Amino acid sequence: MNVKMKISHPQLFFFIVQTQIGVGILSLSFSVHEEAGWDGWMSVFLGGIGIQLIILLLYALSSRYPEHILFHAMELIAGRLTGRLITTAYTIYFITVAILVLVIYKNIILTWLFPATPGWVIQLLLIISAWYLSREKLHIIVRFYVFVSALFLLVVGVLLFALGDLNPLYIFPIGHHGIGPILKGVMAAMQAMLGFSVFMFIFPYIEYKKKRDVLKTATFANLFTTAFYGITVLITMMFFSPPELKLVPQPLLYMLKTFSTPVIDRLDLIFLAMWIVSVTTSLMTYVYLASLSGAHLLKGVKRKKLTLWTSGAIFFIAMGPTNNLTISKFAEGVDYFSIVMVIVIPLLLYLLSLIRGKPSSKGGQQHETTHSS
Amino acid sequence: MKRLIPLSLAILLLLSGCWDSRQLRDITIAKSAALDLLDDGIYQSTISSPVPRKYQAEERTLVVSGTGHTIREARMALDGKVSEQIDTAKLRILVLGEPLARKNIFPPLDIMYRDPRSSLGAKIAVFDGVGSNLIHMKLTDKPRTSEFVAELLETAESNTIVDDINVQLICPIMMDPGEDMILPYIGVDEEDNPRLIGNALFNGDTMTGSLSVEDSTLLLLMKGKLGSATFLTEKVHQEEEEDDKDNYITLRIRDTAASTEVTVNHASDEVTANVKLTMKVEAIEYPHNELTEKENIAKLNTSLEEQFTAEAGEIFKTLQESNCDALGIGRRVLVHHPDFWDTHKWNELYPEITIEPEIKVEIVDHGIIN
Repeated sequence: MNVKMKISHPQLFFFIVQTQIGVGILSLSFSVHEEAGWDGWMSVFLGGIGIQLIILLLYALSSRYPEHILFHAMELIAGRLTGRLITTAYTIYFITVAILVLVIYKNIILTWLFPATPGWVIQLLLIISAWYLSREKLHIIVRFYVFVSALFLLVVGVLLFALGDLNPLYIFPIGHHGIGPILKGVMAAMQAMLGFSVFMFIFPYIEYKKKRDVLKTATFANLFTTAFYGITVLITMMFFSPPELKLVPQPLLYMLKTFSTPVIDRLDLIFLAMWIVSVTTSLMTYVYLASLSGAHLLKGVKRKKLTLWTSGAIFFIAMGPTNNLTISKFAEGVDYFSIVMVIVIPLLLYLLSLIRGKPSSKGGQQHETTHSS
Repeated sequence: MKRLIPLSLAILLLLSGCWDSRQLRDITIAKSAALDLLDDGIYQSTISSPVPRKYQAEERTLVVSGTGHTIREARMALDGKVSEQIDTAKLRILVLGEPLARKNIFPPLDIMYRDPRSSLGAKIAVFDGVGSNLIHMKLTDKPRTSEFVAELLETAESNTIVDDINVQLICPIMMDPGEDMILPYIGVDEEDNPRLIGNALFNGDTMTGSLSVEDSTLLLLMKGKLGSATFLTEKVHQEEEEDDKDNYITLRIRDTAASTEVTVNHASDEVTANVKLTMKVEAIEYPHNELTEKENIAKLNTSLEEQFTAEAGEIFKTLQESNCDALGIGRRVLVHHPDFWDTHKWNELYPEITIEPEIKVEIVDHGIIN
């Protein structure tokens, strides 16, 4: 495999961060506030710590088989059949998450931006761009991610508008809700931060001198996302008083709607339109991962071709849920699915691989698996 | 074939129109609106819209009213009266009639908060009377009421008479149980011209009283607000009666530091709030001309402090009578004494608490003469 095809550490950093940051940021303060009230910002930071622990686990698992993509390593650990079953579950999981992202963002665009545009048009435009990039090789995808990361500055920029109208008293008394609700808020926060696990699926495609550097990059990415989310949540929580935050499902957008500049009258609409890019990157990652795991299952089928099929499936299934209640139920289901796929299964696999001991890696298989990127 | 598909897709995307376009010729833009509650419990919505007229500099406005049981119904009634659809996305001024403000303002504002197209950045004010009267007024110096009222409020903001607020910025305060809002209060003078008469005091979302222009400035200063051109005039010499004009001093407020501290006596259930305000001022008008000597300035400082402290005491009395916690004392009780907050009803407690003003004045400059 050509060294140039591998992705560097900065690229890995943005790959993780762009996958994590997406549609979640728009409603994060609302969802943590629902659980933990004005202590929700602590949930976000605690969520970051929780995710760090999971990253350690995922790193421990994937770094045991640095030459194989995880789907192949699973077969080595759990046997061919079980491994394939787990890979199938992951494919379904990636498609499900992609559907959720698509449905949620379509809904937000419909309510905020284009009430008269048919939903399927918005979906189609989003999924086409996701398909178009995710059919390329990984190093091309990450180049795009690095490029569009400049958009994070946009968020920082729009948050500055609110600084003059914050009331810090709204987040006091700190810790009023007690540890139980705050921990429940952690769950809600981690849901918005999903995507930190991507590094374990692409481990062989990362260029590194020492394996530990991958852990370092994943940690930095987690730090960045946690700080980014944490600050956004803190600012929106100081902007809205607690009783009002209960009524506002997309606090960040709602806050922006309040301000107008001489040039741009409605900041929220401009922000929403630009943020489509960051949401699409999350979508792209999941389409990519779904095709990656799918290609591993279906030997002989090109990954490039699979992206079309997965994108199509995602598009059609995402047309189903339109009711807000159905969507939140769906989101809840994806939460539990995520816990299983990101924590439970990696943990079991890791324990199993510890019991079995490290198998010697075979060069032939390595070649075969890395080829499909 | 391989090239045809992407090409046709691109053509499809680039050449198709928009679903969500709103052409200016299809809508009537409402620049100012008034919401009123009529006697029989029916809402009235009044909007004013600029009417562009070809080849004529003079601007006309269209003012129409509609009534209904909800604001949306009133708006629908409005839609039936104008040829195009009414669009409130560019709303600049929202006027609430006093009868409506005295009831509760959140239900009629709900549609503003819920509609993604509404203009949350619109200025909001209470009118002493039926709000539509303000919209209907013909002004001599401005073509539109919306412009007049917006500029009136902007000037008042820089003079620290009203707070810099809009429809959204009042919402966190309106919903916060520990703080109450104050909104600009507009009335009419003898010649039936609109003018600012102070601030309307609210308890929750119900108007309960009002505060004069002079008191509004001091209250906002105590809240820690300061506009770019803030003036206060005080009577500092009582004894000399031959020429009353000499007795006054006008100050320009340069810089302030305000803080509110709350102590709770758990045994007696007593809440004491200590409102501190330190002002650095510039004497910009003082016919007495005695600002050369240090003692005189010190004397003047003390005399001003006494005056302002007494005035602040009166303001607090008014606030408590209206049960309007404009200083956010309740929020501080909640923050520093959450247990006390949980066991007491702040709305009932607030009129009984003690609020102590502590105002320091420092004349730092007095123009280019002494």
